Amino acid sequence: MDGFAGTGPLSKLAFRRDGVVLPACVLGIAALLAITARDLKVLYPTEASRVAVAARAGANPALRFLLGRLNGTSVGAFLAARWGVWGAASAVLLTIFIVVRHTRADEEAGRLELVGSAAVGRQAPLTAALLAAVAANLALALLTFVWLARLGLPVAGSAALALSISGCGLVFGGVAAAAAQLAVTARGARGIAIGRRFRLGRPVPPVLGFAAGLGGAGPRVRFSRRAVVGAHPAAGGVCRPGGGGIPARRLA
Amino acid sequence: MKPHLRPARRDEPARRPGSHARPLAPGGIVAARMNASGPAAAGTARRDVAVRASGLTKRYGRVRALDGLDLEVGVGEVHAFLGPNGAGKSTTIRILLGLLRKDGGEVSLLGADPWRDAVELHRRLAYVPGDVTLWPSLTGGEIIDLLGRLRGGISASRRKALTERFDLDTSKRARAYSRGNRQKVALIAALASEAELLLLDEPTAGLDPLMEATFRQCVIEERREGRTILLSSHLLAEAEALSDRVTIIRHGKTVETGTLAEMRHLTRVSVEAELAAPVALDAIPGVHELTVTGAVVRCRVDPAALDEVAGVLHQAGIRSLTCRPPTLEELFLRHYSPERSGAGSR
Repeated sequence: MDGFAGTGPLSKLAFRRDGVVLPACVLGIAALLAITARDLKVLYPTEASRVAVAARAGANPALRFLLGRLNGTSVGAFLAARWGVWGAASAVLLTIFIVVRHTRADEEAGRLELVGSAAVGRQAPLTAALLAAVAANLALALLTFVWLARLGLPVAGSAALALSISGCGLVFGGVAAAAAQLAVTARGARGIAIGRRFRLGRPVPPVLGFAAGLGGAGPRVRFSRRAVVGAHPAAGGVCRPGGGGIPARRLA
Repeated sequence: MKPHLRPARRDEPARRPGSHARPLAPGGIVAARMNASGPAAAGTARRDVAVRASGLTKRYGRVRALDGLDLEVGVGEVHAFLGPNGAGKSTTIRILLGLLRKDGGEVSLLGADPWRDAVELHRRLAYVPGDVTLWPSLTGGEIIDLLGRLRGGISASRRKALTERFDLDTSKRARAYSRGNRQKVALIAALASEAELLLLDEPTAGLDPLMEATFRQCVIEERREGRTILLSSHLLAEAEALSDRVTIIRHGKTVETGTLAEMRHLTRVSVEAELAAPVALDAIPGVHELTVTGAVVRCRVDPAALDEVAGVLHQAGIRSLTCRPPTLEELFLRHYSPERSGAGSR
C-alpha cells in the first residue's frame, strides 16, 4: 500500500534516534517496580506484618483518598496498589513523548518536509511512531513481568500488573497519535495528550488526556512543568539511591 | 523561435545584437508574457513537459498564497523560479511535492498527479528545501544514506564524489553542522540520487561563495546528463548563470516567463558613451533617463530605438561605448518595485 511506503526505514530511524533514551526509560520504569517489590519483601516478610500495615494504611483517610484501598495483603497487592499507578503514569508519559516526538515535533521542526519529499506514504511517519511506541511498551511489559516473577511474585499477578501498565501506555499512544493530528505544535500535542496545559499551570478541562484518566481517584497534581518532573517516578527513582527508604516509611 | 533546450548562458549578453532578428513589435512583447498563448505554451508541442501548472490557487485562511499561478518546465531544462520572499515559490513547490493540496487549478508532474501519485513520483525526483532541518543526533553520512534509502536508491560513487566536492565531514552529528553544512547534506543526498527531476528551493541560501560555485558546476553537469531542474531563487545572478528559462512570480501570480533573451526584449539597454561632439538624443523616441555630463552620455534605450541611437552616436564620434543588456535585477525591479505593482504587464 502506497500510504505506508517507507514505514520500515522510518521505524528504524526512530529506534536509531531513541537507541539510548528509550531502553533507559523502559529499564528505569521496570526497575522502579522491581526494586520496590524487593524492598517490600524485605520490610514486610510475614503475612502478619503486612496485615498490620494494611490496617494502619486503611485507617488513614489521607492515604485512602490518595491511593485507594489496598486490595489484599500480599506483596504483589501492595506493589500494584501503591506503585502500579506510578508505573502506569511513567509508561503513559514515555509513550506520549515517543509518539509526539516522531510525528508533530518532526513536522514542526521541518524534518518531515524532507521525509515527505521522499518515497514515503502519508501514513508512514505516524505508523513508524506508533510501532516504536508499541515496541517500547511490549519491552516494558516483558521486562517487568520477568523481573517481578523472578523476585518470586506470583506469575499471573506479575503478568497482569505488567500488562496493565503497558496497556495504559498503549492507550495513551493512541491518544497522543490523535493529539498530534489536532495540535499545531509538539508542545500543544503533548499538552492535549497529558490533559493539562503546562504553561502557566492553567488546567485545561481534562476530557481527553491522561490527567482525566487519573480522574478523582488519582493524585490531584497540578501539572506544572516542574511538578511533572518531580512527580515522575522514574526521576524519583533516580533521586533515591537507597531504594525503597521513602515508601517504606510511608507505608509503615 | 528555437526550443531552448541548451541555450547559451553567460555568453548570451555577448550575442545580444543577434537578437535584433527577432520581431520587436508590441505583439512580441505580449507573446513573451506567460499567458495561455505564451511561448511556454507554444513550446509545448515541441518538447516534453516535466512540470505543468496552470491557474494554480492556494489559500491559507484569508491569505491567497497562490492566485492563478502558471508554470511550465520542459524536460531537460534548468528552469529558474523567481520571486521576492513570500511570492509563493515554496508553496508552489510543496504542491508539486504533494505536501500541500491545491485549492484550484491544474497541476501535473512528470505526467502524473502530484497529490495522488506522490509516492511513485517521489522515487523519480529529489528535493532540497530552502531551510534544511536534520535529526540532530544522526551524522551527516547517516542522513544522506537515510534520505537515499527513503528515495529508493542512491549511487555510492556519486555520493562519495559529491561529499568530496562539497567538502563535507559526514562523520559529524547534525547538531554540530552550520546552516551551510545542513544544506550540503540535503544537496548531496539529492544530487547523488538517480532522480530525473530536481526541485531545489533556494538551495544556495546558506552556502559560501566557493560552495555556491561548486553547486553551479553541479547543476550544469546535471543538465548535461539530461535531468530537469526547477530552481527557486531570489538570487538573480544564480538564475542568470544557470537557467534556460525563467518564470517570475509575484503575489502568487506568474508575471513573466520565457528565456532570458526573450525577457531582455522587454527592458531597456543601458548605454554609456564618451563622445567627441555633443549630440541631441532627447528627440529620439525610446530614449529614457538621459544624462549628459560633459562629453559622457548615459541613457536607457528601448531596443527598437537602439539602431537610431547608435547612428547618432556614431556621427558625433565615439571615444568609448558601453552597451549593457538589462540585468535580471532590472527586470525584477520593474516587476516588483512598489510603485509598479499592479503594472507588471507594462
